[in-house]
Amino acid sequence: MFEKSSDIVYRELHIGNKKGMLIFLDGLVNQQLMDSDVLKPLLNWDEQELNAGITSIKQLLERVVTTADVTSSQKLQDVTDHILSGNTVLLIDKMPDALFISIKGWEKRAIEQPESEVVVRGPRDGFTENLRTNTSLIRRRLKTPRLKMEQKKVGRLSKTDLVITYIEGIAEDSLVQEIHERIDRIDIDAILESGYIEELIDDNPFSVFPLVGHTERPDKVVGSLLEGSVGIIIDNTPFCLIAPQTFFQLIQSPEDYYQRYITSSFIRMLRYLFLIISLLLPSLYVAVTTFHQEMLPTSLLLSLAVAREATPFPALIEALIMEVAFEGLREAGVRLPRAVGSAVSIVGALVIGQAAVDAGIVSSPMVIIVATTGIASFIIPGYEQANTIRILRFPMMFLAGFMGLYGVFLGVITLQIYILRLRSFGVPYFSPVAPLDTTNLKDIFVRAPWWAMNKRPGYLGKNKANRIKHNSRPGPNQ
Amino acid sequence: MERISVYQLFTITVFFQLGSSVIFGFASSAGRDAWLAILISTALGIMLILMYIALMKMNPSLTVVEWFPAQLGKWIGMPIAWLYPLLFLYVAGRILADVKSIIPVTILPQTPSWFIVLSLLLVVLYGVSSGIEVIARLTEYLLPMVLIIFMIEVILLFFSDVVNINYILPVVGQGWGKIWTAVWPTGITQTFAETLTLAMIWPLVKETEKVMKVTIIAAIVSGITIAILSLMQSLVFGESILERTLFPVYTLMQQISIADFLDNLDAIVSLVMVLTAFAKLTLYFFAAVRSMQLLLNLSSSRYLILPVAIITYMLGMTMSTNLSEHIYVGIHIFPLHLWVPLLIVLPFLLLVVTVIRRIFTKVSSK
Repeated sequence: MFEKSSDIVYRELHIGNKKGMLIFLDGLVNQQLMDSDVLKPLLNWDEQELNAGITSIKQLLERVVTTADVTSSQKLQDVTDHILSGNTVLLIDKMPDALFISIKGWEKRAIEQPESEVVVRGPRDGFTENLRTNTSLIRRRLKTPRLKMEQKKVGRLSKTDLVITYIEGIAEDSLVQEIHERIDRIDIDAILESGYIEELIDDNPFSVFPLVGHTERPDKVVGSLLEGSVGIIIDNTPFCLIAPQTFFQLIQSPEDYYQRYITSSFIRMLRYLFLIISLLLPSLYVAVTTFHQEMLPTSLLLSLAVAREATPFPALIEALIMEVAFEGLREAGVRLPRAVGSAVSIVGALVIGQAAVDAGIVSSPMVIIVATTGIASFIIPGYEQANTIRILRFPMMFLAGFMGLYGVFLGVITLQIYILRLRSFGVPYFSPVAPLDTTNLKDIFVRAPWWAMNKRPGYLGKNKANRIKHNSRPGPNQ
Repeated sequence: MERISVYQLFTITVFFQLGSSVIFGFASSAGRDAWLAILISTALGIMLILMYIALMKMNPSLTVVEWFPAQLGKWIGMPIAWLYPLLFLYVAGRILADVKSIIPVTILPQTPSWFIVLSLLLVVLYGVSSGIEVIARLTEYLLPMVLIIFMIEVILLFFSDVVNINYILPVVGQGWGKIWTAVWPTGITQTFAETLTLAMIWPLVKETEKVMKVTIIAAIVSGITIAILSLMQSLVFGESILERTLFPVYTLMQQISIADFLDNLDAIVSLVMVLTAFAKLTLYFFAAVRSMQLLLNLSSSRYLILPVAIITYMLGMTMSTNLSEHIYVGIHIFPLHLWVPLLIVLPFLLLVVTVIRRIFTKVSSK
């Protein structure tokens, strides 16, 4: 079965008077532990209890091998599975059982600060590509047996391990059940990243908005678990999925809960403002300069007219050129090696900035608009959610170019209807604003102080146990 | 079955009642006492709403088109019931014509009107095919926004130095007769009697027993909102200009001017007006589709949506050749000849029949 695999190791050995064999994959096994905990006791065994002789493989398991995680089985399929997932298999002549010794060990990345979600105040540890490291990061934050971690294997060839994690009594049983069912339905050859799972368990496969959340931050996962969500940790990727996901979670950053609530509330409102700017500013500019010049104060209108005088294109074309150039520059900045990246940004700043204006190709107000929009799109905490807004900006610009503010208005209404149709694991995407649930609004437009948020969000489940003791408001006399 | 919550019913009702009423102004024939005419209309309108709700309670879990066959029998009830989908279609066409008239005048002078109407209708189609739950959720958070915008604008008007208290004095200076011409029939039927359309969705409300309370509160809220807007119009324009204004709320908001900076908010106002018209149109459209579905006993409304859209479009485009005709029909002909018989006379007769039948069955069962 393993011919033509150069990384498999067969190690023959004598245990007492019997012949045995260790099989493992080189590189997936910790060599040091192999020597000290497996080979050494096995080879020294006959000297200690020479007379007894081994009658069953159970004895080896109970007395000899000094590793914690050892199992046994009689099936041939199990043997290959265990070898492939990094366990060491011990076979002994004339014995039906095989022994699986878990001394996995391979090269892995250390825990680092998550690159895609940086915070100023808050824990700096992020998930790694190792499933066990990731589960331990969550376990360390919740020391309760109610934290469940159910393991599954997905993928015909990759047999990727994934762990469904939730807190019993807080997450809805039906939700956990639903996630199990959807994951069991997956039949694909390989899972290389959480994105595969995300797309295969989606409620609406054509949705522009992400209906399953993902994060690199263990604190964010634990926060979601405490609100009744379910996490899906997948081997070989630092991204953990969170379901269900609602629209307003894309405005929330874990940092909101660590900073003082007044600051957080201010920043949150700022994010809403910039969300709207990121979506609508270019289209509003196009609409106003093309159709509704009378809306501007006269002096502003005059300076705009002067700036736009030399430009050969209509506002819509101008905006499209600039936005596409900006998006291209941004994508190039992500892909290019770091050494070249700075050169691109300098050239880009010159090309789409001053030079384009001096050459009379675009007007300088347009540069300001595009720059503001670009900055605005970085303020949304989730990278993927920000991308959604980036995409939606373009249809809005076309509507503005054809029908002015009326077109923008129709576009926004259509977008609203679209969002209201979406559901994530049965939860309406726009909860708790529509359908309205006033008790949960404390964490939407502002971030209420912890002592005021005494209930868990109800829209994720009906298990609304109290989160914090009543009357926890701190004061000098308490 | 899709259900809506009590709060959603409230927002739907207010949106529906504000609807196109805010576009063309309300009760302007009462001159400076228009606001009073509106308050009187609200009070009388609530009486009508009470009548509708009494009918609903006597015909539990039935919609307005099912009341007639249920009480009058199939042969008399069905033809009468079919009048209502036709009315819904006609009013939906009227609202489209409203939009057709306001957008070119206010924000898009050069765009052809068929394009404006068609694009709005497409969005309405999308909304209606998404179901009443989605429509309800949409109104749920748009209504507070609309009310806040109106509130801000009223406050801004006071700071714009255009308000003149003498314009509305003396109150009832021209006698009650003039007020009454505004109240009957336009004032009562427009906005308040139209609420009968919402009887198409009352059976879908989760807590049916609260429908009465919520609908009446909604009628009061929208009545007061329209009255305040109307009062502001009188305060700013005075009677003589007001009677000659086509879109009073729109013209009103053009007067806002603070420190040479907050100027020309009229585009926003016209969009708010289109928004209310959109909500009302969607609800009428939904009512038309649903009533036909119920009368034809179809399991799905899918095949009805497109024909209804085409008819509405044709109605909206051909209804009136110009704006003055549209407004004249809207104020003088249509309320008296369509709304009064269909929204007041017929429901009243139905109520009488229902009550008599109830007494009769009680007596016979004894």
